[in-house]
Amino acid sequence: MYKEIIKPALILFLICIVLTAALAYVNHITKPIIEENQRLEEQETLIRVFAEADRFSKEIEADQLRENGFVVPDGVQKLYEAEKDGNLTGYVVVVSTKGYGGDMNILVGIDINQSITGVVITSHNETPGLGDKVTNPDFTDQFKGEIPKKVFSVVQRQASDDNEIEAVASATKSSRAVTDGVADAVAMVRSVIGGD
Amino acid sequence: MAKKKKGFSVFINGIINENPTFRMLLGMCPSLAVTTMAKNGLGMGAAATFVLVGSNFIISLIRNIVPDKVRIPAYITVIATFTTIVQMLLAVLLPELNKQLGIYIPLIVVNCIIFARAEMFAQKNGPILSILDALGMGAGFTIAITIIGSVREILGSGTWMGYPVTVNLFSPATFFILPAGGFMIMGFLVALFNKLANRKKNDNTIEHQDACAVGCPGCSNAAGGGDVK
Repeated sequence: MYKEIIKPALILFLICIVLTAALAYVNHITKPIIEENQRLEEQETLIRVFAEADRFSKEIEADQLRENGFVVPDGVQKLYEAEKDGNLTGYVVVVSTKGYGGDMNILVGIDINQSITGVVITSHNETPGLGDKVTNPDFTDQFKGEIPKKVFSVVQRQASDDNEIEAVASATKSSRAVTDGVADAVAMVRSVIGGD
Repeated sequence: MAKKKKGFSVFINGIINENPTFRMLLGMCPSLAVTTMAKNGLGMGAAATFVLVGSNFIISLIRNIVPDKVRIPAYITVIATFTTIVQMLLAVLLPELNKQLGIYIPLIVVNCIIFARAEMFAQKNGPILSILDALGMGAGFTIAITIIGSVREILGSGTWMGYPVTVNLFSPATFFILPAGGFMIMGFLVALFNKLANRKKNDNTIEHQDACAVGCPGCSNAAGGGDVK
């Protein structure tokens, strides 16, 4: 009885306790560093889509925006206010959109003159080597500049109009997803600024 | 002197005679899934080697204490602990690589190679030999998947370690970074490696007999073998 059942159980229990303690110790050391990394990374990515700003507000969640009476498109997750020398100069919108392989998170920077200052994809599950090319600046830089009058449309040839976005070859669905996300961000900022 | 020689042959065994990827065909899932780039192969190999060394060492220490009945849960716990540690360390030291490898880091827990070494080697040998075995196997795995990653990256993306290398030579074929291309490159490399390794004709591997003693059902990767996402 003891040798067959209790002893093995006790030994396994002991092994688990020792290993869990080791894990807790490593977690204790690494957790603050990981959190700090994530915070720095957030500030750095915000700067990447809005280089002009020197400070970003705390995040404003989509629900909070809705409560304040703004029209919030489905994809919008949160919004940051970008400031320069203490004055509001624009917004960074975090949108989530359905890509080919799953959800994509996109940061879109838009200044108060309704120009897009940058688009960066922060996480995605697109096919490596194909769909993930939408994260390249070659693709995302197409959105930069004044927001066109017409809605963005994805084309599978050279873009000829300022509202046309050239899709990444063999990744039309991923390209569309990014474009939808940017359109959501534009709608959000328009609602915040007022008018269109 | 004799002992030193044995240690060396244990180490080299994992790189050539029993190379986990090219000779034993173990751990196919990460070998195919993360090898779209040479850098990912190297990172995955290093992470797996760390887990392998840690688990082989601990398992060889506790091998006489753990009753046979609970040895599998005990080993899995040890392996899972090291995998979690490696993931935390990667998040601190190399966050970029951690993002690239994503789900394949936690999946090291069920990596066939690591469990196979625990069962076949660490369970029967002392800590020093077990560490050497883990280093050899880890090096063999790392070298193998870095080579696969290099070939696929050069042919598929035209870059190596992120640097463009084939700009004026040929235009890369995306096929090679897709799963089908991965299987194809894998097949060719296994054939090439076996051709080269067999030429030496020293087939007296240490555990030639019980190499597959565990058998397919005992292999933790049995159900997921070849399951490449």
